[in-house]
Amino acid sequence: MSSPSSVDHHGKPGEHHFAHHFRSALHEFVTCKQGMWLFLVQEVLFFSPLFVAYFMFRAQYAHDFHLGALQLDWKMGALNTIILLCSSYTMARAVTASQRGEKSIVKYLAITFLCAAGFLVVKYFEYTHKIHDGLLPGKFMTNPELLAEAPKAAIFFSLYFCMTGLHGIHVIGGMGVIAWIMWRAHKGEFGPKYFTPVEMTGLYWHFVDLVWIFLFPMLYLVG
Amino acid sequence: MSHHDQHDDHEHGEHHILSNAMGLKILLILIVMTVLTVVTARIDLGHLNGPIAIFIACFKAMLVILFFMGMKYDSNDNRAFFASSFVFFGVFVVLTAADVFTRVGDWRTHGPELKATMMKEIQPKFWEDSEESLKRGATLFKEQCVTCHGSEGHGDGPASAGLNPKPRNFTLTADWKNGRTVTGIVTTLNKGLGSMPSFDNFPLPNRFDLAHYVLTLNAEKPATPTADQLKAVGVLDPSKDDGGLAAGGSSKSIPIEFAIDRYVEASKK
Ligand code: HEC
Repeated sequence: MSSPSSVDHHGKPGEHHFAHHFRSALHEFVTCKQGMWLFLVQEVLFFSPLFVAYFMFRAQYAHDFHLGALQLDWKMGALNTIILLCSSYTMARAVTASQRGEKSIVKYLAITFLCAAGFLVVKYFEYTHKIHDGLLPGKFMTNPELLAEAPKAAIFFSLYFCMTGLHGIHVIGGMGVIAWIMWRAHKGEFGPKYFTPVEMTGLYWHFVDLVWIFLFPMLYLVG
Repeated sequence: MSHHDQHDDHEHGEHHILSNAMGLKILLILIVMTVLTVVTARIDLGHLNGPIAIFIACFKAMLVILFFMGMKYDSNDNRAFFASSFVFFGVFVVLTAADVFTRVGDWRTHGPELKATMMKEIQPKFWEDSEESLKRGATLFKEQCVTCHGSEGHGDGPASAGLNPKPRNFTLTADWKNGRTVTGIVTTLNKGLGSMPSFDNFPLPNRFDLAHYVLTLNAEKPATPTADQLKAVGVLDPSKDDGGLAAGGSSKSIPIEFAIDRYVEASKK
């Protein structure tokens, strides 16, 4: 605490003092980033059981999965893909803006946040529609046509809800972090000297996009 | 170590700034790729559809990782970290596939046989003993029961070693918990018993085939089941030829069912 370099966290806006156990601000940044990548490694492994389950079951019940996938509205999925891609772009713009100390960072974070909200609204409509049609996981699947033609589509819908659900939770979490970063950017905490939280949030958000890039074709298109 | 770190900071730690023009270019390529996936997926390319979609997704992912996430300008450490997660994912896929798709060792040879055995249509009065029923029962028994109950039904199959109580010895008439009757055995198959799994994913007529076969392993013939006993094990209406099953029953999934679906798939090829 007495270390001169670690004291003032309430300095002038845009000023950041790196913690005393780092050699330099750059050292702190590089370390944070490494931690973030490790977290993302964990995230890949966190999602991977669902992907493995998907591949194994699809290999066994290709026909039923295909009929299940046909029940999803690919237009909704495509719309959400575009929304997330755009939000990834605006997130990248926010990072660039913070690195250059531009005020537009708040604007870009706000657009990213709105894209995320839009994504969830589309997802909400999809979910209610699926629930209405009895396209539910496992034994809860009550859609009469699928029960007769493709009973194993129930597994498809289990995976659909687990995968998009886990992804959706990540979107919601991301929105929380983006809102927080937006608030801090609004207070002028970030600038060319210090933008670590913005860049880390960016990495996380791009990862969320990354997962969707795979979920969309797997669930909506080829099934 | 500290020397190395300093070197590292210097070499790769410099902040890279993604230019707006570059960001926009990447976004446009990503959107074009999305349109491309949708278009290719809507053309029927048979087995190629899946791999193509995954390939395009990988390409898009690559762009996001390299440019939006800045991996192109990142340190080798971080590259190695992130790449390792996909290596482990690959290991996960390969090992799981190696397990799942080799689990039923003899499915290739027995597939068509078993498929022919599974009842597609309900035969009249399927709960009654008949020669075909016994034949189907023998095949199913060989496929599904011998691992525990042994090829002669002595309860001494290879998997019986670790089981307690032991699998039933079908050549004896004593100690049957659900009774040594047709409906008693079907009850066991419906519900399972102790460490014996249930086989309720088999069509009900096939469960009767198994029961008839199991009963031939001892010369003593049990009494024919009453209408009430039949109803209790799932023959909804024994006065009808189809047992009132035409309305359709439901089936649950347990691992054995995987095998059966694969037998059916295999025999299609
Ligand atoms: C995983 C090993 C296993 C498999 C596979 C298995 N059984 Fe069993 N079975 C057992 C065990 C263990 C018992 C004894 C359970 C007890 O007494 O609690 C048993 C008991 C039985 C009984 C006696 C029930 C009674 O009333 O006491 C019947 C009948 C039977 N099995 C039939 C079959 C048939 C038919 C198959 C094939 C479709 C089969 N089993 C497959 C392990 C197995």
